[in-house]
Amino acid sequence: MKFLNSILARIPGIGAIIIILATSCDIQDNTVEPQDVFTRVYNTDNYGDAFYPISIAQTADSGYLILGGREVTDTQFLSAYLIKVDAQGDFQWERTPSENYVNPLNGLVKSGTSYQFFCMDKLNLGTYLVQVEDQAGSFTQVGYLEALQYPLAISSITSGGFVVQGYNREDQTTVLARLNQNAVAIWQEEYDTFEDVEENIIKHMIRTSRPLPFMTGSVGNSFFFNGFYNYSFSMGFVNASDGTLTGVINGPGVDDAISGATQINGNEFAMARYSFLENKIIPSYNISVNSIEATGDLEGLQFDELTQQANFTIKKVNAAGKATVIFGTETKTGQILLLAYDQTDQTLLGSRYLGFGQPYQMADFSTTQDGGLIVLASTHITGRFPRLALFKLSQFDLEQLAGGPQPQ
Amino acid sequence: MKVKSLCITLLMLCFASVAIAQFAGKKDGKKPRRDSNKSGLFGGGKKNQKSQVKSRFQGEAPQWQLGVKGGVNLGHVEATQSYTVVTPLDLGSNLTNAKMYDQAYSNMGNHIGLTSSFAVNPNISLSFEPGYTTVKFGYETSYQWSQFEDQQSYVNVTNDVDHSISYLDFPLMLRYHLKTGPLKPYIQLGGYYGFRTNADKNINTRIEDGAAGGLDEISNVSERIGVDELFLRSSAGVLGGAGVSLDVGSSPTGMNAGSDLGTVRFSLGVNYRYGLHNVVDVKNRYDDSSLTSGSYDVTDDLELRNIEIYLGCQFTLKYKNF
Repeated sequence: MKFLNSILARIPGIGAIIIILATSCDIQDNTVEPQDVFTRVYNTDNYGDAFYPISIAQTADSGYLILGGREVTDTQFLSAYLIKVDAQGDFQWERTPSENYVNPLNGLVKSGTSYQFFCMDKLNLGTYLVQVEDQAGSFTQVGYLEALQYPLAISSITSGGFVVQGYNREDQTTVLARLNQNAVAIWQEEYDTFEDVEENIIKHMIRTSRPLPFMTGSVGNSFFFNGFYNYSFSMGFVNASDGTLTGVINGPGVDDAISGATQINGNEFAMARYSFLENKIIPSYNISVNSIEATGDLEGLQFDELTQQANFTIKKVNAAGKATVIFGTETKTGQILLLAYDQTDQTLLGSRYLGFGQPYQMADFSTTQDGGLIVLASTHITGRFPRLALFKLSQFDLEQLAGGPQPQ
Repeated sequence: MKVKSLCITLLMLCFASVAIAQFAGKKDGKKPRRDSNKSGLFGGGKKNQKSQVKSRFQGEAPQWQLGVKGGVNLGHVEATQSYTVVTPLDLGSNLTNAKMYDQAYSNMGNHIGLTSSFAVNPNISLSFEPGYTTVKFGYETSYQWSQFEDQQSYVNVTNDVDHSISYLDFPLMLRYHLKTGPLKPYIQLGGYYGFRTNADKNINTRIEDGAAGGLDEISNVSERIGVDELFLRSSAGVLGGAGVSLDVGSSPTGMNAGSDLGTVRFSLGVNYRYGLHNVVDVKNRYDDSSLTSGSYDVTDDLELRNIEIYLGCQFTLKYKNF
């Protein structure tokens, strides 16, 4: 009985200790800034609205500028459309700069304090370079190239200017042009497709077929394009000074192609490709710009869970103290899949799925000023209406993806 | 079903409490005593009844009590910071997408547990009442899409979201009896710490699709998801309340030889529990993709507010002549 009484006598003290100890742990440690992590789906209540994401860039105020396409009634092409959100993903403004600006291309390029993007003229099919001020939401037309029709892909050059891929429907050729910063052509070359691929290109633009992985970029003193060439969808390498074709990785037809590529070092690339129903990831491949190869020669890691002819966004990222390559793509179940590989030994560091229960498709991703990752995606809200979605991952999330500290 | 379980558990705890009290008496190897304020056991027997009557009127009263309590929680949460997944693309839009929280204190949870008290003097006692408590709250979000030109082209989606969080609860209170005697109103003030054991979220999604040709609900999907990680392990707050207690049955002076229960105190009271912090684990707010990107549901920063109505009974372990 004494024991019982002694226990009872201590109950208030025990209770007080429990409260003091408990309130000093997880309650006090419960802080995350709203801009660190969020998921957003940007919506209107109009049944007929349809928005498709293209590209994203973080602005100086830590917000995000999103380039997308919007369905309009007077053309089948998507009208260029931009929205600005703040660091927490709250909506700030939206603009449809001009009814003539359609088919915006992937790649918001920072230019001083502004951003630039390429798009197509609705009627003449020429190429615009448009500058946008993210704070004011105003636009300036930097240049227009009437001779460069059906613009399909762009990339910026380290030394300044752009490499733009287009299509000449009259000559049935893929066109590659090197432009200066004011969108004036330094050179423009054409490469035979030997067949009329205009229908494929239009379907790609108006999204009645799977988007095709058009790309341009630089490798050493060469540029490359991924597009139609010689009866196939191929990656061609050209001399940076005059556009002379020096090598190619041929894909048989359009069902076998390189679906993503980014330069790691020199001629070393991280790539992905599809071959009919297969998708393969190639964490490292040394490109030879002067030889002729076939996409089938590129051995890689097969991912059966990916959607058929999956598109990839591949970028170099430094996370958890490691040089990492992140592959962003989409699965058959409508999720976005991020895969992180070590740049040096090409081992898989981690993976992360985004989205569940509604369909999500990868559009673009980028690292953020706070060390996190912003992922721009396409979704159909409630499975019906095409909308833009944003996933913001924190620095901790990104480090976890790169094989860093795991949650307790 | 839950009420039945609650009653059965309460009954079992009541028996357990009586058994503890009985065991405490027998372990001392003597009949429960009513004539001393030193040994502190309740008990039976008719010995020294006269002296007990005397001592009672001189101020002998229960000092240590142990029992059970149970009741209902009327749940409410205060959203201190709102979050949303679906974001309107129009600053002037009436599409706020805000959560419409249920009417305050309209969601009924329950609690059950032990209650122990230590009387410092005839008016003031300390109570420690460890138990198991469940709080409930909910809200509704709705989205509409329509086309001005075509009245039939519309879709309405409504998510009815209900939460249930269970805690092992450790409240400690200082109770002040406004008067002495068998029937004693009291007020009390204290703090609590809760250890979260379980959390569930139930989402009932109703879809009306005018474009599909029907004017009625075409889909009603209910999904129950365990969301333990969405809520902190700890919950702390302050509480205050009032009630009335009734001392019945045997007392040191009027004890029945057969009952051996001493003074049994019944309490009926109300507490208001005020959570002092956000109970949502903000690190995990967006971790469940099925919620955030599937149902477009993200949990706000929430502080718990609760009205607790309880009924309890306590058995006296020790008396003291105050």
